[in-house]
Amino acid sequence: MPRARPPIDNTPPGKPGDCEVIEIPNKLAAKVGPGQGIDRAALERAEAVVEQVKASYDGRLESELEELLDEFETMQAEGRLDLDQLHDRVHEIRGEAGTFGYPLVSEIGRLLCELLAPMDQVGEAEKQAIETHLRAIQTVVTRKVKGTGPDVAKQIVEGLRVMAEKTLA
Amino acid sequence: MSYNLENLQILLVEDNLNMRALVRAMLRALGFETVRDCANGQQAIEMLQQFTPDIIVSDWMMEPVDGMDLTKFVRNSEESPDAYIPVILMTGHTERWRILAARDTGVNELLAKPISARTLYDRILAVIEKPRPFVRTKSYFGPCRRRTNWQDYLGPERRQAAQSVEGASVQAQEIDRLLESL
Repeated sequence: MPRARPPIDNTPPGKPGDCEVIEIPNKLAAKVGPGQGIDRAALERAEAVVEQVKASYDGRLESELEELLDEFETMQAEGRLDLDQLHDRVHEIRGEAGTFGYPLVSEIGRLLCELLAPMDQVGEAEKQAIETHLRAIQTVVTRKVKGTGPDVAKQIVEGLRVMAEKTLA
Repeated sequence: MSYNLENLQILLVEDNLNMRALVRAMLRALGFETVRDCANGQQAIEMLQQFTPDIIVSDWMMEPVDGMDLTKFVRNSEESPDAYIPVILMTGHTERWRILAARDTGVNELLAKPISARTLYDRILAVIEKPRPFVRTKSYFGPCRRRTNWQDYLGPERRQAAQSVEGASVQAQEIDRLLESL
């Protein structure tokens, strides 16, 4: 997926009457029958399922991260940093890590994605910022820091945020 | 009284095996008996020739056809089995332009990653309880885009002062020091 913003759509705004509003019957409501709101028991069952699946996730996250770090190393060795590929891999990991109980990985991944998204060239400062983010993710995963982590995690995230901002400026 | 979700058929489209297994398990636990799944938008389009789901829950980033193109197919293709199928798009994107692009493609609900049983359930209830009318203009066909909570998905847009190599190095060292005490 391209990281860059596509061209702005210059389609002129519509005139009154250009817009057709279609009211459709609520087929879903008809199928699920009368009821309302959240079924607490169903929600608790679903939350229990999440906890079960989370338990087997640690090893998978570690191997996915290893693959990412290997790819980054190879890119560097070959002198070609594929920012799209890197962005997509980090994006993938950050999406699942948060869901599976590693919000700190997700947060650092988000910062790294925001760093990579507008980047068009990679100098020393950019490379250093990318490496620092990857190192932070690796540390969180190898030390199995689940949840939002201890207080020092906030300082790390803030440090990375400032680093990314300055790198992109 | 709670809804009888057994009667609704879900098409789940997600290329990440971990996420697909998790979301499928959550949907089943919530009460959906028919959850058919596949790994990308291309496979989903093929499956849509065989059955018509009541709700599509799809990831955004997939190859060769992503969740946005799948939504375009559902809304605009003559081969779509039903142009009005609610689409819930799962995404980790927070950039404003991406969120608005999803909205402008005809997505009903966005499900921001990381996802939880609660957020998934909330989005499903939204398409059941608060369906929006569809709108057709010269450039758009899909659920009415006038809603207030698109902003909920948007992350901050930030830019500040320039970074020197020396500055980056000092910051990297400071972050490494903090990582040591993690």
